[in-house]
Amino acid sequence: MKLKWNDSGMKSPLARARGLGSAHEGTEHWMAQRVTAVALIPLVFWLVFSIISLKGASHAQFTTWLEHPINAVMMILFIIASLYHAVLGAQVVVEDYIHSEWFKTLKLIGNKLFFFGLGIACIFSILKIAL
Amino acid sequence: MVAWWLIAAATSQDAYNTAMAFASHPIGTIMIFGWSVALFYHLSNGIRHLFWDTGRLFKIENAYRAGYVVLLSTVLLTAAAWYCALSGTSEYAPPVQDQNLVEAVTPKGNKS
Repeated sequence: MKLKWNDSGMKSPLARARGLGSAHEGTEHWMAQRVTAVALIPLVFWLVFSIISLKGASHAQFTTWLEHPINAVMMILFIIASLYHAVLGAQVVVEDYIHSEWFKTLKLIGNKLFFFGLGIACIFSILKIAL
Repeated sequence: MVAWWLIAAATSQDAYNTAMAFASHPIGTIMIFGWSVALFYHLSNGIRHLFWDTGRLFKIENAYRAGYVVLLSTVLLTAAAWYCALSGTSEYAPPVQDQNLVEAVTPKGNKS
């Protein structure tokens, strides 16, 4: 495997650590993953209950349901918590199992952009219906 | 799938109907079933991880026991959710003509 710090004259330990996960950002990542996990426990139960109760709902019935402030807020909270949790989780998988430097970087950027785009699309949809 | 559902609902009635038709198609339903199993397993095992984070359940027999609890709760939660989903307690289900049946079905609470 080609390692970036072997290619240059600068071989400080900082250059070796930077961008490889252990550069003063691990704790925040770990904590955010736990906080979103705890937040998702009630949110998942709410979502499953809601999906079951919305079984067979028509478009009009579904939009009426989502217009209710509690449902709209809970749905936005679920989207933010679940997709943030997904970004953090997928990031760990990529960091642990992709050993090609350029492919890992590509996957990490793609991961963030994909879930960010999906989250914005979901939140926009919720607001469009609810407001 | 949840994202598709939301975005389709915001896009148009046709898009929403397509999403709902897919969800009630056997293939879509099997996908949702698989997703629900994975979700409940992830939820249960995630709670096991949170216990580990607090320094509990580290003895090997406790770790194993919690693992079996995770599998059991996955089965129970999935079964409970699908029992509720398939037993027709939805207020949006097609209107039932028989008034006795309506009364028999509606007062049921949810369990999850």
